[in-house]
Amino acid sequence: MSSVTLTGVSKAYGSVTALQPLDLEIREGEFLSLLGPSGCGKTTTLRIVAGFVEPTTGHVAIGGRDVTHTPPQKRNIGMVFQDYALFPHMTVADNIGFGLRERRVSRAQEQARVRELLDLIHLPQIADRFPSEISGGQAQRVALARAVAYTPAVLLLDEPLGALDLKMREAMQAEIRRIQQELGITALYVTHDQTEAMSMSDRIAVMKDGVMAQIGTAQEIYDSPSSRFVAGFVGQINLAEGTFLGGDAGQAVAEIAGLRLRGTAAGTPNVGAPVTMAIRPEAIVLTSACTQTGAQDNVLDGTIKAIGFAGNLARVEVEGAGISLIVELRPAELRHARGEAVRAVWPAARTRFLTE
Amino acid sequence: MTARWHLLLIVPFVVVFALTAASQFVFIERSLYEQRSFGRVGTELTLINYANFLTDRFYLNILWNTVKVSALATFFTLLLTFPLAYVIARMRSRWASVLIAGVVVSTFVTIVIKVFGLRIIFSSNGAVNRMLISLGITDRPYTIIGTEEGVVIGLMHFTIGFGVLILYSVVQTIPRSLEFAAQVHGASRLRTFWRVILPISLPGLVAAALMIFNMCMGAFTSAALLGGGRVLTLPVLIQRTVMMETKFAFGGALAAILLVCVIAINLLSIFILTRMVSGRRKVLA
Repeated sequence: MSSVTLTGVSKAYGSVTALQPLDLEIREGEFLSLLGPSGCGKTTTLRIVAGFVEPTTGHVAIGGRDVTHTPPQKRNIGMVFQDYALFPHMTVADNIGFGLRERRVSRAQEQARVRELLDLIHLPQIADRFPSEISGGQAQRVALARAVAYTPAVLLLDEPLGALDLKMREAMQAEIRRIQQELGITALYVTHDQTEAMSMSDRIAVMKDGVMAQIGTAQEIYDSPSSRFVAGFVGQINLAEGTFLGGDAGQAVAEIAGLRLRGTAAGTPNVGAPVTMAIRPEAIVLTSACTQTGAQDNVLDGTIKAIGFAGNLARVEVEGAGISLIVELRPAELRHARGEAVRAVWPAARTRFLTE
Repeated sequence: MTARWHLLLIVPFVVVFALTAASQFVFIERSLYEQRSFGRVGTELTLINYANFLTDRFYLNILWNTVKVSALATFFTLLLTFPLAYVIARMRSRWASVLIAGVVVSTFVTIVIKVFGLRIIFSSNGAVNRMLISLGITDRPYTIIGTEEGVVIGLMHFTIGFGVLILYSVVQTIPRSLEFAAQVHGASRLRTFWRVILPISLPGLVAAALMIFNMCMGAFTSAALLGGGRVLTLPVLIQRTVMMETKFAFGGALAAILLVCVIAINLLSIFILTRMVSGRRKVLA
């Protein structure tokens, strides 16, 4: 249970830069996800923390101790791999006890701890089976038990749920989170799946092209994305181009498609700079045309172009003033038909103006 | 309609059978008649040729020597090739394929040429002896011709390429992540090798060992050229018996004994391995 600090860590392979200089702190007991598309540098970052990859520049510290040049086996970490990486020639019990034996724990203590862990993952009956004789979900739990057997300083998880089907993935998300919190272990989780990152993490670091684009809680990332990339990568969002007009009464104002819209700006854009307005589909409500609205609201008058149903959601496309917005609402709230004139209203507080 | 085309397979079967089994059969059948002088054989079925072999210290010594040099060559070949195969299998640059190509090419260069290379390197004013003398390790040139070490080196020269190729494919089947997992959970490189890589590659190692051992037991050229007439192995003895002394019946007996020994040693090894593995379950098989 320790914090992890990366200071100015970068990695280059020849002339190819896999990771730009990165500063990142994972707090004690925190569950932090590195989220991004493949090739964004998230796996490289994880491997640098694990010690499989030596950073080109910068320092790695675990629990305040500089481990930049410490080999993996001396870093006291646990790790769960995408392909489980269970030892095929050992039983489940021996797999879980692997790290304990390397730490010269007595045989009796090892057996007691392995039993405890098998109970923790709710699989006491598979102790004597071999990895080839258990299911993918069971294998991943065993891999998790192996990684936390000796209570490591940090738990690293490298897309551990990628090989599981959707249902098993959801069950395992809760399982991993429960075990991480029960043991209070600092965890670094790598994934390209934004729902996974959102549902499990204390904080998320979104990465792109070897750069950390934004770091914050799931809520912060979702509500206040700092760039178009983050906005588009995490959930659905409407984007529209325009020009920044400046501040007014603590709010940012921009002109988008001839409309004067209020919101909050990411950073401090110059007056006249091009900005992109970003608004989540579920933040917009549809009312009848010409309904009175509050001064704090943004308004677009348009017509409904299309309506799609996705079970629990209705997705409505509204077009007006040369832009089109996707609006998500519950089917019961839908009171308009295709082709009808409507007024789309959304609060300034949820409107973002992005410059990059 | 039954598949009549199966009948067509009889033709290649007969050809293959004639080329492999028939010649062996002729030899073994011949070995059951008494060997007389000037290449003549007796007319009654007898095991006298086998009895002559098994009661003569000279022949038994040759059999023992053959097993010994083969086992030594096998052991050292594996010892040398496993690290090499491991490094090539784990390389991620394109040099890996260059190295493998190099191994393949040198493996299929005829052994005669390779042995002459060895003879030049180890000749009295060759590279090895000049180095040994200039370092003061020895004052007389050391020769590998006609020594057991020489034969072992010659056999290794013959089998090393095959060893690298077999073990390369063995190491490739071990996912890299298993090594990462061992290391990250506290095992040093040495412990990772001992607890993970070695046990997982054990069946492949045994298969490679048996194949290399069998090649050594039957190797003629390197044993003949480096034995120099002073170190005799069974294949060399068979060649002399048949070609120089025209004793076909006795030569047949020698060949049969070699065959039985090799099969027995192989079966025994497989038996021991399966016993070892069944102690830890069938997963490795």
